[in-house]
Amino acid sequence: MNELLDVWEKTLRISFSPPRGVLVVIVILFVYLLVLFPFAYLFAYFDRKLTADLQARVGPNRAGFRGVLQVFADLVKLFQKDPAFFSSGFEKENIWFHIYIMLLFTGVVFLPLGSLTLLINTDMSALLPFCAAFVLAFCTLLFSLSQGEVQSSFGGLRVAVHVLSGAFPALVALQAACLYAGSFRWSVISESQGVFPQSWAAFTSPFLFISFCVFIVGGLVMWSLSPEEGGFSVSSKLSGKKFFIFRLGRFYGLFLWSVIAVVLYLGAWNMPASLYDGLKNSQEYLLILFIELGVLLAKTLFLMFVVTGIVRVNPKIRVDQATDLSWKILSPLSLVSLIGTVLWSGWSYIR
Amino acid sequence: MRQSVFQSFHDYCRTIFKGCNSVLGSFFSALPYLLKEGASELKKEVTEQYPDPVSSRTAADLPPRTKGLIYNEIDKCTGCKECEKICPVNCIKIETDSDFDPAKLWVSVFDVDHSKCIFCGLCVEVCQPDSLFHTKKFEFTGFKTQDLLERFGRGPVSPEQKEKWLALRKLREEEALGL
Amino acid sequence: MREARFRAVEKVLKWARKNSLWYFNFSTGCCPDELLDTVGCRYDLERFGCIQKQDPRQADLLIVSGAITQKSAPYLKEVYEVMLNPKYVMAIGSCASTGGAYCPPYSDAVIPGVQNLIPVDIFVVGCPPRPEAIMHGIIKLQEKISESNEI
Repeated sequence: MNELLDVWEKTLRISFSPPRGVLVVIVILFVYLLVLFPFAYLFAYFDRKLTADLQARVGPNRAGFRGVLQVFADLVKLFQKDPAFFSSGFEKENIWFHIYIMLLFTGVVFLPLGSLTLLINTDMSALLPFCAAFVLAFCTLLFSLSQGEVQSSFGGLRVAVHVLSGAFPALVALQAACLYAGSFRWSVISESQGVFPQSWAAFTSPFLFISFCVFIVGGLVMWSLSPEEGGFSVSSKLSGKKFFIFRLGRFYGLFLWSVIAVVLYLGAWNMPASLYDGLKNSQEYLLILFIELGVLLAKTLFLMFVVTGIVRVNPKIRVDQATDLSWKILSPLSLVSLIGTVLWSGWSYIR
Repeated sequence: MRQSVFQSFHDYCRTIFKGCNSVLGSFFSALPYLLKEGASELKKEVTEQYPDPVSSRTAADLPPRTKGLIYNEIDKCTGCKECEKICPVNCIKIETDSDFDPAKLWVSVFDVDHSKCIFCGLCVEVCQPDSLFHTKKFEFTGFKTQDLLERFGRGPVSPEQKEKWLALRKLREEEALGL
Repeated sequence: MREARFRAVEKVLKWARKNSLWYFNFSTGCCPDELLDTVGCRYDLERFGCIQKQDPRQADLLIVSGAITQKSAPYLKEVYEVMLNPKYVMAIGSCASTGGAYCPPYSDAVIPGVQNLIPVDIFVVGCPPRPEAIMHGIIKLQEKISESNEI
């Protein structure tokens, strides 16, 4: 982390050396303002347009040119809504909701968004986003359980079951990928892959390809039932600004998942070694940062588009179908991929 | 009957393959909609963007027997009140007075409450002088139900006007008798 | 000067409000069938930024389509009360606006118009109205929102 901050100090070209905490805040602000918010906006817009196109519709086109301002309109409208008023404890202030928000906005620290924004790069860093996702799901569960209504409790349980049934096979798949790379460290994972598709982890062996598919499908199972779409149960407790936060939560989950999938299986943010060395020697860190971000986000966007396309033309799955899929198909496949990867990459040692 | 291990494994694999096939198949069958250019049936633009008269259908494009809003040509109307009698929802309200022409009545009030109308077309069928008919117009909105009331009446007749008509009619009758 | 600035902000707020009317469909009759057509790919209601919400708490527009009986009246009222401000109501078809073919001389169980229960912003004529007519209603409602003085 110290090296990273040194690099940032050079990048910002500051003559005096600011305290390290300030630098961390600068990095986080950079990630927020330049990456997450614009990307969230773009994805929310393209999601609606793409869905409309796949259903042979036009999609929003009255707000701004081709409906570009539609998401902005939704946002401003949601912030105009009255705060919840309330009859007979319809909506209770809840600590779990606040934890959810805090986690949502601090979770960026875990995100691998290029070699210059790796704030946490330890031997366990690949598992951290999983913990974040688990806690987000857990918060949703507790939030709905604490509302004291039968329907809302069931809604919360449904969300929890979806998350669990998606997360187990995905965790095993993650282990397979990290086994191939040799570490749970983001930098090692990215260095183990190349620039072109034939050297990406997903295409090096059939087992890793299976584990890639399992990872993606597990993510879909996990995020297909967001609180917003969970029927009347959980969502009736959310409105106006809170509802906006939960929408952000769904997007965030999908984004996190896709970024991790790209880093693990699709060659991360790698660019040609000669270019990277050249830029590093001439100390153009800002350029490195933007090129890496561009490469990573382009791949992520593509993956998210494919995933959205598949999600929008297929029916949503019920809870029992999700558990069924997880238990009977995803888990065995992920185990097969794990064992296969062990044999594949350890073949020379065994022989 | 118990299946062999091989058979059940084969079935399992087939199920997975079928599932993948159906999921990806629906994705690929929806893909042509993304690319709008081309002569294929799937690539055609189907959405009618309503307020735009080019891509959406206007009233003129509707089929000839469309039942739109009711319109009354008040000059032809005889004030026979047949439509008022047959209307199942009582949305037509008529008041009449004697007219200059003895074969007709002066229709002072002819209100059609479009908010009640159920577009059944009975009034149009019974109309003898063919003054009442369905237009193809269908857009009609109001901020109150009172806004949806359409008035076709000619307004009340003043007593002086009535006397004038009476005098005129007498003159005509005398002329006819004289001839 | 200051007022002018406020007016600009007001304009933006109203623009946002009118361009994302998420609706809740309170359907008791056959007009909702026509509404389904409006949502479909032929007449795409999402062009106006309207999305159907299953939950009145997240909706801005309550679309009442169909006759409201004495029995269903309290539920309609509850749904309206649960919605958060700013909220709008649209009554579709003759059943919702006056009781239509089921109005009191025929049956006392039907309420002659939703406006007797909740304030209605716009009525759309038709039995049922064509999809275009519903969209025309939405456009008129948008005009009403942008012309209104309330914030």
